Amino acid sequence: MTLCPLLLGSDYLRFVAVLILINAIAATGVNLSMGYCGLVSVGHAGFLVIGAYVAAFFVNHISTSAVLAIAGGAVAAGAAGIVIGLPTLRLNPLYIAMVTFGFGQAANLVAVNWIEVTGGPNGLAVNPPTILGFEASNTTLYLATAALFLASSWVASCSGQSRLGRAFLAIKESEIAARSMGIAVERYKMIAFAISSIMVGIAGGLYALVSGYVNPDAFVFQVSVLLVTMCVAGGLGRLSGPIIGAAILTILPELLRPFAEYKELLSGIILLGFLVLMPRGLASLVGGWIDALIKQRPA
Amino acid sequence: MNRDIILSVIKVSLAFGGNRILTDVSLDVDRGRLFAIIGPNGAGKTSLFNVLTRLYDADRGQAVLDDANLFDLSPTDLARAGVMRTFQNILVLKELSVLDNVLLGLHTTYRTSLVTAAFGTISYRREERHRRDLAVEALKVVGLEAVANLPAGSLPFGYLRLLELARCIVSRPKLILLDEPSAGMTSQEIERLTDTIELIRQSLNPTILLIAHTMKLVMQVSDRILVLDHGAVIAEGVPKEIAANQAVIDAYLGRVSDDAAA
Repeated sequence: MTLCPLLLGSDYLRFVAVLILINAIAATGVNLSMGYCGLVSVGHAGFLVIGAYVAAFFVNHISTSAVLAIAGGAVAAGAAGIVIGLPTLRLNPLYIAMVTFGFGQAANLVAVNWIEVTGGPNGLAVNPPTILGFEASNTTLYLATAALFLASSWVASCSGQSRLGRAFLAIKESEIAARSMGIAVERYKMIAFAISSIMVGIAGGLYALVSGYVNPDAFVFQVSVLLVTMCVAGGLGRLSGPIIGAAILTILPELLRPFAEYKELLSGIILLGFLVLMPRGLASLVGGWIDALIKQRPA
Repeated sequence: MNRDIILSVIKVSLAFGGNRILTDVSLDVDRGRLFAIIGPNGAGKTSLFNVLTRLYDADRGQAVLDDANLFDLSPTDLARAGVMRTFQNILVLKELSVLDNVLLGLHTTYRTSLVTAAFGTISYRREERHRRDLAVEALKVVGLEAVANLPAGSLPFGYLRLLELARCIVSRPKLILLDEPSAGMTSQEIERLTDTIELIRQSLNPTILLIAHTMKLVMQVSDRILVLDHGAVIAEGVPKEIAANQAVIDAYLGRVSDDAAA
């Protein structure tokens, strides 16, 4: 699946396939903090903004290296995650949702208004990046995306199955039980949130480099909600959930292009159908074998 | 007489607003013994456990665990120091397997860092394998090894209590707090629980604090019994003394007070 972009003939299909992988990385990040640890965020588009604009800034002004740009975006998003998380994660879930909502809006407003750096509402063209000194072709960028997708799935899989994932799930289910097991609840929430923001930052950076253009419209509130929806529709707290969710919710709007007028309505109805018919997500239906494929063998 | 006291509680009081939950509760627990706390519903037994496991902050009083001031420790410190508990309203993770639930009890015993866990390194996996062996051993003690790989949510009620017990003992803690492990159990399950507690005492020799309503269990396994009523200690002694204590019988069966009768 990760190599599909190379097999597809048309540039358009390739771009959609890469978009799926990028969304899957971001949704995997959201799934770690929300699906495993129970931290519902409706502002993760804020980390996409940071990842994307920092990567764009790196490529345009500091070094054309794609690796450095994406790493820069990831570090910046991770740092933002820690800054947001430190005061917020002690609060109850409702407040976490409110603060992340505010963060997402604020990040977007900065992108709109800090015109000297971000280009404002008109957006910003990203110079062609290089990988290991060579100018990156579309193909190499696709490969890099695929590699980062695999890496993030690997980390999600290892985290999910290790004592880290057990601690996250314990916190989601009962903070009291988690505490008495010796799990430092605040610390683990912070870890989940940080990994999550880093993954979303990576997705943002990839998006900037692959599309060659960033503008604030790509990271609005609806995108935060979309990431959450990907996890829920795909299956919360499952490895394959966000991947399946990302695939469907990236393809769906493309398929519905001919019915542009009714696109929103149709997506809504289809999503509602998923939620009603498969409350535990699509992954519970078809994900078993995907989990088995990706999962590391139990130690 | 030279007593080896592991836990000493000195005049601990707790109130929620004007509601007094615990009043000047004192007790000493000898190492390696089973110390039962009984009392009518609402006597403050679970609240005392919550104070001792640092889920609640006591308003007054002190508690000394070995040489440490217990109220200076966080719940995480307590787990590291070898204090584990079970809950009256069972807290197991239904989505996880039975084995994974037990592994949670070993959370603080890992030596490798979290980064190695996130990347699934060889050193982490080796350690995880070792922890799994320990978890299977604990499951054998409570007799649940056959269902180790089933999701915990699929177990019947009595098994969940045993699972909590396995999670509680897997790290070989020095002090175990069992909050009503027999609640809701059939008499057959209680017999099994009694045997399991005896087995745990023989093999691990921990100190156990036990809250229970099932008198048969309490009388059979306890070395000492403390009776709480309305947040205060009304009696303490060996099982025989408690069974004959008039104040205890009154607290349990109710008594028409002289004032009310007059």
